[in-house]
Amino acid sequence: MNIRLPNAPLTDEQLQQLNNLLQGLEGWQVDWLSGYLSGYRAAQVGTAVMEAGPSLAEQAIKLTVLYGSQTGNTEAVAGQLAEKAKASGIEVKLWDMAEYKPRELKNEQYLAVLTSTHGEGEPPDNAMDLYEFLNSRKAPGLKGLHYSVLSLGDSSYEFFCQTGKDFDERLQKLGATAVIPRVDCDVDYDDLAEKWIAEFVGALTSSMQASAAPPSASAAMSQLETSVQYDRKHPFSAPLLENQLLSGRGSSKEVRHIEISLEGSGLQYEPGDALGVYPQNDPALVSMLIDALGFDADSSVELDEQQETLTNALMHHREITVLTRPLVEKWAELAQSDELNKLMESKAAVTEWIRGRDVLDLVQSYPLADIDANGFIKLLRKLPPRLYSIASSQAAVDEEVHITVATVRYNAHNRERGGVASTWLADRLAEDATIPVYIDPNKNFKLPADDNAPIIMIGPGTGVAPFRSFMQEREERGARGPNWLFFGDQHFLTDFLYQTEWLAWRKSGLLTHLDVAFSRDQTEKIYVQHRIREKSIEIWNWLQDGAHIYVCGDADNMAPDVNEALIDIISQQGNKSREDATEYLRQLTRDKRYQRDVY
Amino acid sequence: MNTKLPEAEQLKLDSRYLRGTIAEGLDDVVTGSISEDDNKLTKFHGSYMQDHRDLRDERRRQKLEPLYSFMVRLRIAGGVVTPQQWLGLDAIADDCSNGTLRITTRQTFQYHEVLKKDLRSLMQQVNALGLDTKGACGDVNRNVVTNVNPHQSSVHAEVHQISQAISDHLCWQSGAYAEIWLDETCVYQPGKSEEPFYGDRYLPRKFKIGIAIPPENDSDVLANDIALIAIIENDELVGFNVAVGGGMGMTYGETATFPRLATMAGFVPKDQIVKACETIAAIQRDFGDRSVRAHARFKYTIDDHGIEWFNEKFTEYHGEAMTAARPFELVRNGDRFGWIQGEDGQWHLTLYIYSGRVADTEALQLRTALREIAKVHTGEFRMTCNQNLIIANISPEQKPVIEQLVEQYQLDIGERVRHYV
Ligand SMILES: Cc1cc2nc3c(=O)[nH]c(=O)nc-3n(C[C@H](O)[C@H](O)[C@H](O)COP(=O)(O)OP(=O)(O)OC[C@H]3O[C@@H](n4cnc5c(N)ncnc54)[C@H](O)[C@@H]3O)c2cc1C
Ligand SMILES: Cc1cc2nc3c(=O)[nH]c(=O)nc-3n(C[C@H](O)[C@H](O)[C@H](O)COP(=O)(O)O)c2cc1C
Repeated sequence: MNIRLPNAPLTDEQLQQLNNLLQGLEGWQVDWLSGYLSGYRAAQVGTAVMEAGPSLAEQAIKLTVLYGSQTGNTEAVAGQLAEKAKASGIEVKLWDMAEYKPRELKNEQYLAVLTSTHGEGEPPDNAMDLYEFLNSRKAPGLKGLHYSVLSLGDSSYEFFCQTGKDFDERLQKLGATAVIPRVDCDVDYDDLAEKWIAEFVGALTSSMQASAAPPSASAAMSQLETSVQYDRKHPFSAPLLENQLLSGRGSSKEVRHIEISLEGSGLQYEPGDALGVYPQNDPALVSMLIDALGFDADSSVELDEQQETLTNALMHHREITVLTRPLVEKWAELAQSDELNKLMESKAAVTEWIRGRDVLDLVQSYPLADIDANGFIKLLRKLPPRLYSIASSQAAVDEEVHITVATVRYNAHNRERGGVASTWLADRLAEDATIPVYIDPNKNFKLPADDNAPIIMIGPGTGVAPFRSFMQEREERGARGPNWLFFGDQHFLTDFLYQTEWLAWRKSGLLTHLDVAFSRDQTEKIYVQHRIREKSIEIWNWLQDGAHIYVCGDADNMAPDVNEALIDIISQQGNKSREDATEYLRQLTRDKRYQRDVY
Repeated sequence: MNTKLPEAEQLKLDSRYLRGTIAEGLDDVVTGSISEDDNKLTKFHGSYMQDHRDLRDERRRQKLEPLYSFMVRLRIAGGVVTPQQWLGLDAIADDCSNGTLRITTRQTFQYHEVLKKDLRSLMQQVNALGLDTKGACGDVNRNVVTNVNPHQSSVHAEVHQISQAISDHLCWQSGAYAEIWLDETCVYQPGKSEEPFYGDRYLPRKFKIGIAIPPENDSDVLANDIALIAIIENDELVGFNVAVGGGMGMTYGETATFPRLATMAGFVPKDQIVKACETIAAIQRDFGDRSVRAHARFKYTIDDHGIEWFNEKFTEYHGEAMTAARPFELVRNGDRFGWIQGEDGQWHLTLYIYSGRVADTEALQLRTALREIAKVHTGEFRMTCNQNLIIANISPEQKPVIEQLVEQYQLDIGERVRHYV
């Protein structure tokens, strides 16, 4: 390409040189050059880059970062992106999707969308409004918008990273251009997310003037500070203090109350946050797996650029109890098994096969002819940490953290199996053990700032955990707002988690109402949603009084059923159509008066 | 003088005729317990709360309340039930209790380990069988016990009728029972008495009446507050010798408490006996010591005032004095196990029941056996004061059927215990 600019204030020779240079340049280099030139000019006229006049500021890239997050993972990643981008001189606005005005979209230049997926491929609560807006006819054309999507998810779910995919597809349909392709992260998202951030920021800065400010010292400092803190990447080895079975004799459940010391860690949490726990796989399962593969347990494998024994790698670092579709796909490629290939033809068949099976089943059913320990390790996901709703308040327990863990045990395909983290905590933890933990903040599950606001807590099973934390906190704070708990489980006699504490709080007046549903104490099954419906009038009155509603626990059945019950109550008591009632509840979500922590 | 009432007396007074907050306590489903005060009141309703001591500490650490349950005792005058009632009571044991029936020394059934949530249902089922639990515990007349005399069936039938009449007559009346247990609407009105006989403070302490038919004394009759000894002349019941102020209980460490045999007061004809019992209970109601609970039993009233005083009061309250006690002889006080044929030709089988426990164990399917017997039996069941069981009034034709079941289930007809005839 030859530039022919009749009015250019350049000599022919200068023009020629320019042409020579430009012809060899990639687009992003041109972008960089243009930035560099304006910076160069600014320096010539004696204006420091940092104090650039309005003309320069206009050229700085404006990035809007939107995140949809339920349990805080994506929110944290979005925070990292914002920091990185700022450090690279980008002007950043960071938004919780629920707080962002969707109509602003058409004015955006650069957009980062980060979102997790919940339910069965559904957006997290705080992404709901934006998601629906984009999928509605109200959505504006977005030509000229540059974006990228990062999705967080879990490939053991059928609709992996669905919400991220949906956002990506919609933005594209509306005319926006992807700066870099979407990245879908599995539960071990840290590295991929970091890489996506680096690439995205890189792509943006390269399209910015070259004179962009170097990372400021303060930004570098703050990065240094975070690296010495304990977090998801740097868990704290916390001593176990107490491990008490809560389920009474004869219960078919096995729920534990676990107290852990955070002394000296500097870790702080608030009611509603979760504790991240890095578990260990069952050594018996690890050795069965190694035997099935015919490997040497002590052989050395490469793991995240370090050498580890195979046993250690499988016990501490790789997931062996959950089969994901991507893993089975990779396995099928290697296995060359007609049977497995046939299975792979049907998505539903794979889903069905995966259910209740683990890596050992895969190895035993479809042995690989030639794979070595290193190759095998590379196929596996990182062993992800497990989250547990924190059941204590630091106002009451200081440098301790309490969690409530239901042990997962089941028999499938003729083998007794157990959940990794929960059986580790139940069976394989010495009394003086330490547990690698971090705090997983969740700003979407917080007590009202107003201590006088009434709260309704719906938490059957281990879902009751955060409400113990709420009550401890409100008690310590002397909060006057009324508190109402709905609890449920199988049997009154054996499964009433923290019964004596609730009774004491009811007696002291802190707990205003306590309603329980024990599903298996009578012939017909009774669940919390039935109790909620029985109390329709009172619940409606509480809502009128500004009550906040919290739901915690089972995501598959309980949360949707409770949601349904609430819609019915709002519609009946408030004389509203179903549509209006749904919108009413949605508004409560926006106002942070309906918060859910479900899993 | 304005002295404060003892707690137990105040509680009765404030209870609105035994209502307290029992109904509210039953409706409170987040705890298996009821309040301490209500637990004292439920005794009048035949029930009290216990907890499983062995599990207390374990459950405390599990942040679970103690494992509370209730004992429920029935009012079954003379310990007689029909086969239909037996079958019903047997079913309740599974439905609301721990699958066991317990025969008590006062000739009645007791259920254990009844959970609060099942209490109402249990009471309703018991009432549907024509029985109730009123006054099985509490400061009222308790279950009336009667000799089970298998010999003289006609006398036994008559005495049983009388024990039923006494029991019914001295049963408390408040609407509380039907409201709390049988879902009837509340009839309480402040100032309106619901207890024509007992009043709002009931008796100072529990009150027991026993009847013996000489020469048998299986009901240990003189250990009762009122001991009635049937007087039979020419094979006919004519009336009762009445002794008062018996009671074997004593409180450990309280030196002023002691066991006492009833003192003979005189004879009352049979058509007067229900009223005479009311009179005696009224004397205890009005003169019993309500200030010291350990001294509140009728035996202390008699001991303090003397039998002459009692006889004066009796005459005053009853309008008529007792006549002189008639001769009698009490000789036996054990159960006579095995088969006995009565004067009318009917058969009676006394079974040994280990500590009154009617349950199925691996060694002995006792509950099942008795259920099978109840299905074919046309007579009645009588519980004895020694916690044994009589299958009474078996016709000669039915005898082989019952014998076959006794054989099949290897029931103990007393051969396995030493019996003291
Ligand atoms: C925000 C959040 C808060 C949470 N809070 C709590 C809490 O307070 N308390 C708590 O106990 N848990 C809580 N959880 C769940 C917890 O994180 C773990 O998922 C849970 O303890 C199981 O982990 P695990 O390692 O023991 O089981 P895993 O090894 O992860 O195994 C669980 C898996 O086993 C399989 N499985 C289970 N049962 C069967 C069966 N019958 N048949 C076939 N397959 C089966 C399923 O695939 C299931 O996903 C929370 C989760 C989240 C996301
Ligand atoms: C109840 C529940 C349902 C989920 N459903 C999906 C799903 O359908 N698809 C998926 O890819 N991930 C699913 N996940 C995994 C989350 O997306 C993943 O844990 C993510 O890291 C959460 O990020 P967040 O903390 O920002 O919400 C689910 C997680 C939970 C707790």
